[in-house]
Amino acid sequence: MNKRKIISFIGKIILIEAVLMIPALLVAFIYGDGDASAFLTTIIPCAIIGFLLSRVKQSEERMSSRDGYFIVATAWIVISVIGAIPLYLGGGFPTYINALFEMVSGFTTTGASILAEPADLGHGIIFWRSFSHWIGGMGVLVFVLMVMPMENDNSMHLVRAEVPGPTAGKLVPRMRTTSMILYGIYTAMTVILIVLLWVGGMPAFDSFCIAFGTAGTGGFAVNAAGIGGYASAYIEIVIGIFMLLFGVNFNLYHLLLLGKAKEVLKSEEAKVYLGIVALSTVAIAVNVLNQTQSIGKSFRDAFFQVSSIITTTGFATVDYNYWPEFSKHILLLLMVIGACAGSTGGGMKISRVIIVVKSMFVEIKQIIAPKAVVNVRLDKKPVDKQTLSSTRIYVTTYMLLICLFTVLLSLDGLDLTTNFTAVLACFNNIGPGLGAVGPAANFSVYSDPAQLLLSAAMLTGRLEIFPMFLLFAKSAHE
Amino acid sequence: MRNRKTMKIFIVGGGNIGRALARQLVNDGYELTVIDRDESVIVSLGNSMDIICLQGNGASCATLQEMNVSAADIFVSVTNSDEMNILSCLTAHMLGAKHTIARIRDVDYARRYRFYRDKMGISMIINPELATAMEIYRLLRFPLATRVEVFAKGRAELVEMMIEEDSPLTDKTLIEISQNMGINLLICAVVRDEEAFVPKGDTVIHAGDVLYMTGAVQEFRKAFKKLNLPIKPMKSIMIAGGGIISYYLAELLLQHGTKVTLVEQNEEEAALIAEKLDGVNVICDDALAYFDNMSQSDITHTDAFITLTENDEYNLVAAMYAESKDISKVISRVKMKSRLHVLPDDSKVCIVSREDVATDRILGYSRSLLNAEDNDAVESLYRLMDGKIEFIEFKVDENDKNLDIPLKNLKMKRNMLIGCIIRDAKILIPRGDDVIKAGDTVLVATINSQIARLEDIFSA
Repeated sequence: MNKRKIISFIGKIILIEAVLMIPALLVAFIYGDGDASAFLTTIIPCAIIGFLLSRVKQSEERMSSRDGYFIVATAWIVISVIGAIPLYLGGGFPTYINALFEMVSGFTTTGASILAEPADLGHGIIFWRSFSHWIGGMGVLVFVLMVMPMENDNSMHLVRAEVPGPTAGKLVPRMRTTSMILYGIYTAMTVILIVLLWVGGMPAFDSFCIAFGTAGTGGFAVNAAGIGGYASAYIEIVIGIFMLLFGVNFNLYHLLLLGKAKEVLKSEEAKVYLGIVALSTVAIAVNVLNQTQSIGKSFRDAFFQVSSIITTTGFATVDYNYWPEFSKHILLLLMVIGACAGSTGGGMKISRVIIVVKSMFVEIKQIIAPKAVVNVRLDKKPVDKQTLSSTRIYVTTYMLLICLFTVLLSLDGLDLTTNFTAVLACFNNIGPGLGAVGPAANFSVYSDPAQLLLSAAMLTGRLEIFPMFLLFAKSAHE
Repeated sequence: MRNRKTMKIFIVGGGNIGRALARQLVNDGYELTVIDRDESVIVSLGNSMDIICLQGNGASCATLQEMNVSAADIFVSVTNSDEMNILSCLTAHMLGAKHTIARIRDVDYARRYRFYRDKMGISMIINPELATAMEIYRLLRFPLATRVEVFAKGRAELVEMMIEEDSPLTDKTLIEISQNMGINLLICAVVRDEEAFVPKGDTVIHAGDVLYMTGAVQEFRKAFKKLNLPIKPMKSIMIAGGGIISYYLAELLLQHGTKVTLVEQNEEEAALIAEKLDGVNVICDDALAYFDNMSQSDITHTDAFITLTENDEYNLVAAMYAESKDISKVISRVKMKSRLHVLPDDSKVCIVSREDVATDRILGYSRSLLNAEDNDAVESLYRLMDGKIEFIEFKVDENDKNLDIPLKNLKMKRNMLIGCIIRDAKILIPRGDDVIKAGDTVLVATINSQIARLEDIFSA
């Protein structure tokens, strides 16, 4: 393994994290809540250590696939561990483990919190929590590849490990330009959202934080009341639509910019995604009709919750713990499915679901006619064998891991619904689950070891399992 | 001048040549797209380089349109099939690619390359096999040289030579060599302990140095004679492998009256080459086995052994074997540079690579497009020592800067040197009083830097 390269890369990431904390530091200065010192005591040592590590002389060796996965997994752990320091120093979190859980939840865009009232925190810390969603949404390494010049490097390995979905592709030949296009689209959409929210009467500070949470499909709110607290149908609808938009594969936006709208309309994944949203919204709206007493309100609630859960954002405008069982079960299903590949959302990804479902039909055809040659097709093109097999293995591993995490979590003593949905909510980077971790509750019900376990679940889910596994594989360290 | 960051290059075919070319172009900073039919090729290329790879047919209009080939500055087709390359280039040309380069190696097509260039709109035809054969042929003329390149339409040469303990040049300074020994050649670059530098007048040549010298073809002959270095023509040469390079090489050697023995294991291939080339002694056998059957006098009378099979490992083993048999000149073809490490450090085997030859041509072409708006035309470009040293040949015209100024009044950048000025078919070794005039061809040597214009070598 190319240790020097990994160390120098991690150094760059620490350095960049120190820079990324500066906006939060400025916010802390502006509001003067006394959390500025927490940031300063983190930024300065980080900048020094990061700078020194990044200076480690590298060997000429090229980066292998193993190095790439290793860097990504380590980088995500390192940024979370460092990012949690100002949270802990700023007060508000009883233990460092609590702060770490909160930070992992931020970077993985989960949005699960252990706080009953986030508004008690300083403004700088609230901002940093939400800003971590924004960075984590598009990817830390994608960001690094954009700002750090890389020469003669196999950056594809990094991107493949970080970008969600069965396959990772580039938009243009250069990785750096690709990162710039992705972050450009992402930033532009975020800015539009900030303006729309601000115009809709949301305080400026809130519109920044909520927009970051929406863009990264994270889900940290600025206070316990969440999005419902603004009591504005306009804000709910704007956020509902933007959550959906950020759950679409960003490659489609690039195609749109190139003027290839026709190809965008052909995207099978996007169609299935919108179809699932429409169907679930109608089903839930009808199901909850006798609770809300108004068709408009029930559609509004149903749409917001569906959009929030399928994109794995985790904002809530109602406590769906009180919804009828059928609606809750639909939400559970959406939790597993997740958003589109190549978006900022988590979950299993729509394209994987399509591939697995189609594989099932192919299997049936092959049972009927054993000699038939049938292809699994996505966007009318046959899916290649490598992608097919890795998708199937991913889905199987995913299911087994969910079960494993739930069993381990049950040691903490809570009920099945709570444990199962807590694991789903963390692994798929959603945020709130059902039962004792529902939208009105928080994760402080779990003990410190259980929070560490859930943090591991969040990271494993965000990086799509295998980079995390690699950290513990003996063969990777040889 | 165009920026190479904005220059888009498309390559069809990710084989040995395509891969070598892609690696070099990416390192030089061009924006690159590679198309190949083979999925495994695409996956491995995409994993190892910062480029876009697409699996598909590079001659298909639909594929090329999808990849937006109309934006291409250079479109290169280097698949194994000449027909495929011609069709790809034609299609790309029709779709709006600015410049197209096709690899054409079939003897019949290659003879009529002007037709493809002028009538079919293909900007450049490269024939790596023929070019490699020419390089080997030049090497054979200077047995001591490890590489020989020509420029100025064949009038001047660039020779790479390793200095031995007993060489008359050992422990001499450059001034001594040029004044006392009366050698009218310029030593442009020296490589010592893997570091390349431009030597000064008082630089002492050590044993083990690799020298790069330029000068007129006849001056090399004179100099070699004065130094008592062998320049005797090769009389009998043995070639292993009956591929296209071997064919071109054997043809060249035959024209100059050299006796050629060609050993090819495959019966059909052997029959085919014997049919096409009258006068070549074709043997259908394994080259190594044939060596063992040769009498000692046969071996002593073999002036050079050249191994050109498709198999790198075989070539290197055969070359080392021939070296152990004391054959004075051994040349091996290698596709993948990484294989070279199996050669012992003191080995004198010369290496030629079809991939490097093709890459140099295409790089030279793209470098000349970089300054298409300027008037310096890059006539040729040679890259030595893995690209550490570059020799570029510029055609100078009246719009150039720094014309008619004595060179001693111009400040040259570090590690850059004018190796030769060619004026009216005469070759000048530049001295301080010489000037550059419009119409000259100038050969420039640069170390660890890449230039696209002649004026880049002077500090402002």
